[in-house]
Amino acid sequence: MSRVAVLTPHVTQHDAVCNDVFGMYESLTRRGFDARVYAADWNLSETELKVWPVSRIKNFLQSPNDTLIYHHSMGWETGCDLLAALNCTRIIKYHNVTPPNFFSGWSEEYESVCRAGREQLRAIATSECDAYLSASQYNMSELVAEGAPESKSFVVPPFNRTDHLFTKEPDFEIIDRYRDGQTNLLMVGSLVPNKGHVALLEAFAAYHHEYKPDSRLFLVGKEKANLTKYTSFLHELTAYLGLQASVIYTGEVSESELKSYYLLSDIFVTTSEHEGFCVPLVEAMAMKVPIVAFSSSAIPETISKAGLVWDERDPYLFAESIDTLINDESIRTRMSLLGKQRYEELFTADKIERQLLNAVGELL
Amino acid sequence: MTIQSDATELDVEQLMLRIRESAEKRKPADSHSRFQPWARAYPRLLGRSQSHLETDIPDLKLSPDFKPNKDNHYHVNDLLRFHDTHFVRNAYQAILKRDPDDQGFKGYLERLRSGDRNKIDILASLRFSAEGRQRKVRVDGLGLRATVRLISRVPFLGYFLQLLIGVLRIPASTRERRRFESYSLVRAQELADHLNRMVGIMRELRHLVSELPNRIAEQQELTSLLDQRQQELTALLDQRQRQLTALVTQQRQQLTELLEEQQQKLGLQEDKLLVHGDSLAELSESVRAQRMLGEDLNTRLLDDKQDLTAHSAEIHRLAQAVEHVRTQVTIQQARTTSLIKAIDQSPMATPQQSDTVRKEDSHMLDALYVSLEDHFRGDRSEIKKRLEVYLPYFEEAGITADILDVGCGRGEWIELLREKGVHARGVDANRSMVEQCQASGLKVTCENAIDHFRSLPDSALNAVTSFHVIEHLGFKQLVELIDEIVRTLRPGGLLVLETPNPENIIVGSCNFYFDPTHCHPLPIQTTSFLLEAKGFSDLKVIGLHTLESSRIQGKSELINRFNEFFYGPMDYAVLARRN
Repeated sequence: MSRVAVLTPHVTQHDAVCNDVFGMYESLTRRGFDARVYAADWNLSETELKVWPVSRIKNFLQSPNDTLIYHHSMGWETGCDLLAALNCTRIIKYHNVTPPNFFSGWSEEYESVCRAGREQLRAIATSECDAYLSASQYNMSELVAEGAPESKSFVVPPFNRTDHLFTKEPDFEIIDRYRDGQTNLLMVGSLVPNKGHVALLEAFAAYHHEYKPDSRLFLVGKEKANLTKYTSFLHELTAYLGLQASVIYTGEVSESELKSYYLLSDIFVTTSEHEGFCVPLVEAMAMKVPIVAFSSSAIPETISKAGLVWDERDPYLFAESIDTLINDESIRTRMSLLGKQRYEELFTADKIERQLLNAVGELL
Repeated sequence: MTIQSDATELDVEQLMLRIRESAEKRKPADSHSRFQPWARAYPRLLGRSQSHLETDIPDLKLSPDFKPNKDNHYHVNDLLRFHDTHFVRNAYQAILKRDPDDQGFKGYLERLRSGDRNKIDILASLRFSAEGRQRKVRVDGLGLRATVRLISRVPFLGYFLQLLIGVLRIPASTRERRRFESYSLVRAQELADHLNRMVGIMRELRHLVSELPNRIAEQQELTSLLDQRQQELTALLDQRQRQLTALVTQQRQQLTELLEEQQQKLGLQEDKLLVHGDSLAELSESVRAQRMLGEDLNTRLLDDKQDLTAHSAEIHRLAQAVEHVRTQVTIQQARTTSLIKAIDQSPMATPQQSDTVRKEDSHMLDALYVSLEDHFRGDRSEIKKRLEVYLPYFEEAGITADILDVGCGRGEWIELLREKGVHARGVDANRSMVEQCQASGLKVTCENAIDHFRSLPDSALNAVTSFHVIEHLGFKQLVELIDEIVRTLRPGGLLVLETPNPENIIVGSCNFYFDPTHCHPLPIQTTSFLLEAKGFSDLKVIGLHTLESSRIQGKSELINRFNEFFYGPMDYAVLARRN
């Protein structure tokens, strides 16, 4: 059976790229391929999946019939070198790279990693790989603009662990703590500047102060160690807007805890300014939480008609949207059903596997 | 409220339009300014604060900048735009092309401020001074106005002229006054702004200054801490250096010693190598000898191979001969059968003759049965191996003699027991088999089993065994046999019966009939019932010869049952004790 190496720079838990890497690995293994995950470093505790050090990849991929699937999401010299050096079938999975200017003034490290990732994008797009997979149409158009051939470009949504959410038992302590009749709003995503938290806090301030004081906002996501400047700015802004008691910063959470927040929340709100796909939207759709979002990057494409997607970030527009959904159960229910339908049509593991095999099945 | 479950009915675009409308209605008129303070706070929150101290504050200017024209040509209004000191300075720059001297500057300023002279007077005085004429700067519009001013200074006439000009200039003056008014207001505003900015700076400065003692204290503390650290570090460094030097010395010494030791060892190794060299030569000699031996063997092997080919040809020839004999035997058997039949039917035959003939007839198929058994039952060693399963029961019961094997066949069981030092006898009706047994020195009688039992006294035996016999008997014969066994076994004596297991579907439906002399299969329940009914107890049933290798892998109920029915025990044995 032919060998497939799935390569990514870092493997950590609760990360969309890594979930795609492992989803891909599991799907290929199920299909009978001899698949392995390779990375420069990894940090796993909950899962027992094996990760191989990238230095060993040349021992694995020996024949031209073997396949390398490289997941590009940040600047990584080793990955690009391997892409050029290996004589086998080569496939790119592009998750998008956050434009560096989002980090300007917040973290030089992130800025430079993202800049490198953006610079390498051109090299990758023109490296004559056998296929270019993109998490979204938005990503694909970036790749094509950088020179990737359109005939070899395909959209394959990222594998996600949403189905695990269905089976996990929720953390009842969290549910008991926040199930108190207040309206709960939710945003899931690590605390990084491109996620547009400022506009979200403004919108929530408008809703909280002028529509419904009995409301709170969960910001579920990791506070990154080298972005403390941004994190403390958000806390300061929260206090400035008089929301310190109503905005809950949860930090990184387990899958059980995440499930609790989805179960607790009435509406998922995001004003993110840059997303290559946005997996939390899929989770919200699957968990039947209606979505109100700002139409940036790949977000409108992921949601389509299954949510309220605005072209502007007027706090009152968002507040009014939230208010309308909260007050009209019928609309809320129908909207969540639209989301569930969309999830089942496109984003379950089976559906994604089918899209993957349609795109590259013949190459493997 | 009824909830409609059909999601497709939701018109999202329509909904968004509605939301936008109500948001516009709901949005307070001052929504922009409500968010304004947050927006204004961002720079501070962002940590990119725009401190007054960092921004450049332009110098406060109450009059526009003045640059002397290169072509030495001005309009008088160019110069009249300026006021007070600026005016005097700029007038000097323009007309005399130099900075004012101290005396002139002060004099003009004083007269200007006292109202004694106006700007035209001063410009004229500069332009028409000796120095001014020398510079030849052209000032349009100055001549006429200066002349008027000059005339107006003539006593009496000048007064009326001034009066006339004053009256004529009333509208212009009014306009000028208004212009001046607004000008001064703007300037005042600029001044106020400037002052405010300065106050801002002062405030920040005051804050900074008030912070200073703290900062200084912090710095001092830090400095003293640093000093302390430095001292500690220096001390540590010294210490480390000393340690390092000591270590290096020690290491060097050890290395030298090691080197010497290694050199010595090297010398020893060299010696050994020399010795090894010698033995190597010997070895290669012996290898050569071995090789020659090998070649010799090879030749011999070739010879043997030729011999073997010859032998196998011989064997083939013999097999053909055996085949020929077998055909002959079959033909003779047929002839003999018809002869025996003829004798039996002959009215001449005496009863005694008939009996002999009949007995002989029953042995007609003996040879055929032997080859059938050979074909289906397996070879001798294999059968002995299978029978080993019973040995522990005999050991446990302590039986070492007086064992009778009924239908002993080729005598594998008796032979196995003999090897273990246990005495057993056998009885079989097949003459060919009995001959084979007797040839191997086994105590076997050729007789019908029941007849043989009848010849034995009561309780004469410790054990009776019978492997694959009972399925050859009709029901009546079987009961008769069991009755005889009960009689001849001593109480507590052991009976072992082995027979095919019809619970295995393949055995029950097919394999059982490989042997055409088999009567009917005996299910475990039937055998057990018969034995218990006839006076046996402690029954133990053992499943035998399971086809483990053919079993289907897996754990489902279906697979389990399938394996049980198709690949379960092919034979079973009943062990029982006589009451």
